[in-house]
Formats: sequence, structure tokens, C-alpha cells
Amino acid sequence: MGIYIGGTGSANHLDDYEEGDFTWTMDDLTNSPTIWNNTGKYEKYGRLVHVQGHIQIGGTKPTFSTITGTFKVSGLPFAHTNGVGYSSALGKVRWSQLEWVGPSQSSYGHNDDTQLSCGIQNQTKIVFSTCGQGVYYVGDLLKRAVHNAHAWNLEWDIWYRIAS
Amino acid sequence: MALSESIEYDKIEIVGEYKLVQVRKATVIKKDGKELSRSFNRFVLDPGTLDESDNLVENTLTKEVDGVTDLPDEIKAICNAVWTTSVKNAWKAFLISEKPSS
Repeated sequence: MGIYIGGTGSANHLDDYEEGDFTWTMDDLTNSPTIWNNTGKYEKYGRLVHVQGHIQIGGTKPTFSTITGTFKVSGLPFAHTNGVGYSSALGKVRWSQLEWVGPSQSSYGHNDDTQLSCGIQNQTKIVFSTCGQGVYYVGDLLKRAVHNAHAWNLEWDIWYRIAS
Repeated sequence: MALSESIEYDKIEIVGEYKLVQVRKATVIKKDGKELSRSFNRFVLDPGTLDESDNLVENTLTKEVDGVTDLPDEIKAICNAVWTTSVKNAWKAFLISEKPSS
């Protein structure tokens, strides 16, 4: 089944479309934070998946068992594979009220780190990368940036490849 | 006229070297037994996560990824069948390989 677009080879074959939603969860949580928004929507076009995500924190802030590790969000609707580059997949992020601490050269959350992008780790988890002003390091956003401080907001949009 | 809503786990797939289990959960609306709509919610189950010492903390398979909904026995059985020791070891090695360098 499916349709061939622009040719009759396997690379021209589109055999699936699907849309739906899903729920995000933060890894390593030690409490039940107030979550004003938790939205995940996807569209699948053959082997290509588009995902939008949104988490917004309310009164009770999230706490984590350790704050030094990478902040990871689980819930992707399909397992990612066959990416390229260090990020494997790369998406856009809008954020507010993160806790920026630490030396800039760590690039894990400094006042100068104003840009975030998102990627995928462990095939199923969204991670966020910082890129600071005036520094050339890129690093994972750590849990300390989202730990027990502010009613933060993260929104992201990413495309990625899957196995089939 | 009778409207009904039901949940079906209508697609369970095992994907990739690490046997990740992709689950599609359908919410089905029927009128007098005839299907009116089917909407989807998805999640993926993996064999576990790393702790701070790089030990694999195995997936307990108690809840869906939302952390709230009980995982159906059918899905637990599939996960337990495909997540062999060698698969778990390979998954652990993969997770370690993806850790950022410090």
C-alpha cells in the first residue's frame, strides 16, 4: 500500500500517515510538580516524524534526585534512529524562567546562555542544548536549570527519523 | 442511540537492536456499535535508565510513560519476552555511549 511520489523506487514510497498525541514526563523526578501545560502532538509521514512539545510548571516546582545530570524529557511517540550529527535530530526551543547558574565555560546554564536547541538522546528522550553568547561551547541543559526554582516554560518543535 | 468510548492498544511494535516497544493506544468512539472516530496516543518503552554509577535501572513496567496509567499485562509480557539479558546489556552500553563527555 501507499503511494509513489516522483518515481517508483523505495526511496519514493510513502506508505503511512498518522497523527495523535502523547504525554511528556521528566526523568528522575522526586516529587509531583504542578504542571499547567503538558502537551505533545505528532504527525508521522512515512519514516519522518514531527513533534511539538510544551511543558509549563505551576506552583509546586519539580525537584530531582540529582541536579548535575542532563535534563531529559521522555515520551516521544516513536523511537528515533538514523540521525546525523552530534544531536542526531535538531529542533527549535522557546523557554522562559530557567535557572541559569554556573560558569559559562561549562555552557550548562549561565546567564549568557540564552539560546537553546533540542535534540534526541537514548532514542526516546528530548534533551536541550545550550549555546552561550560569546562562548563556543555547546552542552546539555542540566537538571539544575529546572530544579525547584521557577515556574518555567519550555516549548519545542522537532523533526526526526524512525526505523519504519 | 448509544454512544460508547473504549481504549484499544491497537498497535504494539518491537523496533531496533534494543527491542524498544512502541505502543499505540486508540480511543474509539462508537455509535450503536458503529465506529465514528479513532484517535491515537503513543508511547515507547525501553529496558531502563542509567543511575549515577552507570548501572542499568530496569524498567519496572508498572505504568505507561505518563506515570499514571497502569501498563496492560499484554504489553508487560511482550517487554519481558524481548528484553533478554543480552538486549539489556546492549542497551546499557548504548546509554553509556550517549552520555556527554565531561
